[in-house]
Amino acid sequence: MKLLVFAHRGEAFSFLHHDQYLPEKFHFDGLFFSEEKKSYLLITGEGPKEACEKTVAVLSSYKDKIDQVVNIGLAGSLTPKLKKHDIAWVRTSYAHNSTKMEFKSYTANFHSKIDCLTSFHRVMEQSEKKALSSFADIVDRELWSIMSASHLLKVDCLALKIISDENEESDFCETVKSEAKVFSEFLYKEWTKFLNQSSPIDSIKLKPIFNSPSTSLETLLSDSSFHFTTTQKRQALGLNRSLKLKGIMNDDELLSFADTLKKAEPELTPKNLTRKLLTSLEEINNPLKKKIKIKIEEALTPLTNAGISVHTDPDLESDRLQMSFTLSSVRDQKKLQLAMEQFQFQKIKDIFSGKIEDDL
Amino acid sequence: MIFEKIFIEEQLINHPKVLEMKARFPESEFKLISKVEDVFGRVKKPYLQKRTNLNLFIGEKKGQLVKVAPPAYGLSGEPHYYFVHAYNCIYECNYCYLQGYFQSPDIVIFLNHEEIGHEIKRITFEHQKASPGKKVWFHAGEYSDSLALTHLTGELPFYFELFKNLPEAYLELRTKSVNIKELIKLSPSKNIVISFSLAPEERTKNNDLKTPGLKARLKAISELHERGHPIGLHLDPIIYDQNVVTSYSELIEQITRAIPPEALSYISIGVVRFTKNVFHQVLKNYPDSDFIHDDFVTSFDNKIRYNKPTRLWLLGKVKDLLISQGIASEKIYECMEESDVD
Repeated sequence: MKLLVFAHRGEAFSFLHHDQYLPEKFHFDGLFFSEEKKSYLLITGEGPKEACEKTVAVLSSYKDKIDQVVNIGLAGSLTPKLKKHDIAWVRTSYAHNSTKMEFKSYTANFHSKIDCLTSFHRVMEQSEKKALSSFADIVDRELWSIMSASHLLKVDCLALKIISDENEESDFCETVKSEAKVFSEFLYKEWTKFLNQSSPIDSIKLKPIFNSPSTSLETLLSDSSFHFTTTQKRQALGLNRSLKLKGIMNDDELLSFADTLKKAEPELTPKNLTRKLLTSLEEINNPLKKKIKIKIEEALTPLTNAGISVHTDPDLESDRLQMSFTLSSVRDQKKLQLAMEQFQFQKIKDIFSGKIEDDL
Repeated sequence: MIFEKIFIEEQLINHPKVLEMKARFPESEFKLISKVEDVFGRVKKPYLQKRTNLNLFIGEKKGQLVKVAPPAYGLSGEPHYYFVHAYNCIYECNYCYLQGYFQSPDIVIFLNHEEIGHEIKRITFEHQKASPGKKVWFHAGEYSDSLALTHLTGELPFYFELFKNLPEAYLELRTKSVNIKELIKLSPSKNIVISFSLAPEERTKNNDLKTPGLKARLKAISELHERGHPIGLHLDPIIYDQNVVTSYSELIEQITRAIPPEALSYISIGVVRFTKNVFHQVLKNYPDSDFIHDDFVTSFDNKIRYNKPTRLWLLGKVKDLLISQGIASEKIYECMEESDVD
């Protein structure tokens, strides 16, 4: 469901009128819901503070329902290339907090070439417009804070702006007020086009969302034979992507691989089966690492055969070994001495120096 | 190439290079600023916006103009410095550390080459005083490609003239470009090495986005060598895949067909590595690149690398391949950190 965010009622006029939004009972006035469009509409009032506070409040309360925020409204042009009534989808949002530029920026998941700067005060002076034009093409009063709120609550955010005044104009407030309904109608038409996926803007092409698991992987992650911790889920996602990108294993092959493993190891607990699955996938993805591990295991054989437990660095970054052994008899001592004599630490050093060929 | 906006520091308004840029880019919007830092890097501009709108800044480099190079930079035993006459690059190598360095992909060029040259001279004389006859190296291209924009920036004649008069000082121009037309107008100098970064053909296609292909780079190497320019090579970053040995073997054969091994001044080899910030930028910008989901670990200095046996195996393997193709071992230097050297 979408949340359309406007600063002023005038900007939202056509949306409220055409889509039959009705007031929604909330902590403050300004929230509406359209049963027909299955969409919320919020009027925040002017300025970044109001926009941020109210967007956060609504998103926090309706987070499960809202998956996209769209800021719609007026903006001033900072460049001669954008004229009054031009419509712009925003790419990146910057902010100027009255004394300096905010370093943080937010980029919409949307292809466009227009950047918007949110000013914490009304920009009236030509000299200021000129200075701000180094950073963006249009200026508004809310977008950055709405994007910031959306970012905080991990909700996708887009922005659709109409140019209400051009670079040269200085006193535009009255014009904007009197023409608000006209601007709103233009915005509504553009928004409707967008929803129908027939916008004339060549830039309406959403980027693929990164880090969303494929359906097959989701099936695997929810399989009760396995138990994935959060870290392991991330690891599985990375391995799945890597194996696919390298053309080694597609989604279906991954599922089939997991299924085969499940059948081959029926006695393993879900936790151990998951560990085994991830290790096996890692080895397929990176056979060199498998080779390194085998070499290390071989080098440690005199110790492990004697019952010494050896812990190596799981990241293979350090060649330090930690050993533990329970000594309870003279026989144990001799066993330990013999194992230590047979063990060649130099072999471990060699592996960590990159000598992992068969001729080691 | 089109720059959307060209920002110029006020004091350079009548600089011949600025006037030339104005004539060359009539469609760009020119804006005067008091200093580059007033706009460049003040906000986080997404890296991939370089694909759609790139701005150019023209200014004068302030602060330290020549800096001591990081460890593992160049042949050991000689002092190495780098100088900065530009920020950022027109290419888009998907492993590039510039993604996380400047917080903006916009190009900056500095025009105060005289001052940079003065500093290079001072450092060279200081070294000559302390160790007469010992080479001192200066590297260009730490934050930009040394050749890619030379047809616009035009600084090569200045540096060739400078180093002609500093025979103990060596200049390295590091590049992936084949933009050699300005270079071939100049007489080769034995203390100016043009060094090319190379990777196997598939890797070049997949990772060195928007750069000239391997064949074009090898052709440029061949041409420059024939004209007498000293050539260096960087096989860096090496990225692991299951065909790495075969692909590097082929690459080295291609190199030796383009230039006789004995003619190479040096070859550096290094394995892919990132700071944490750059690693996250790569993940964000190129989530579909085949190498970024590999098994990387946080290594001893908090940089993201392959595990130690893997990276040292890669270095050893590629070094062996180079030696087997007739490249002298003393010409090969491995870009690795202190802690990798046992």
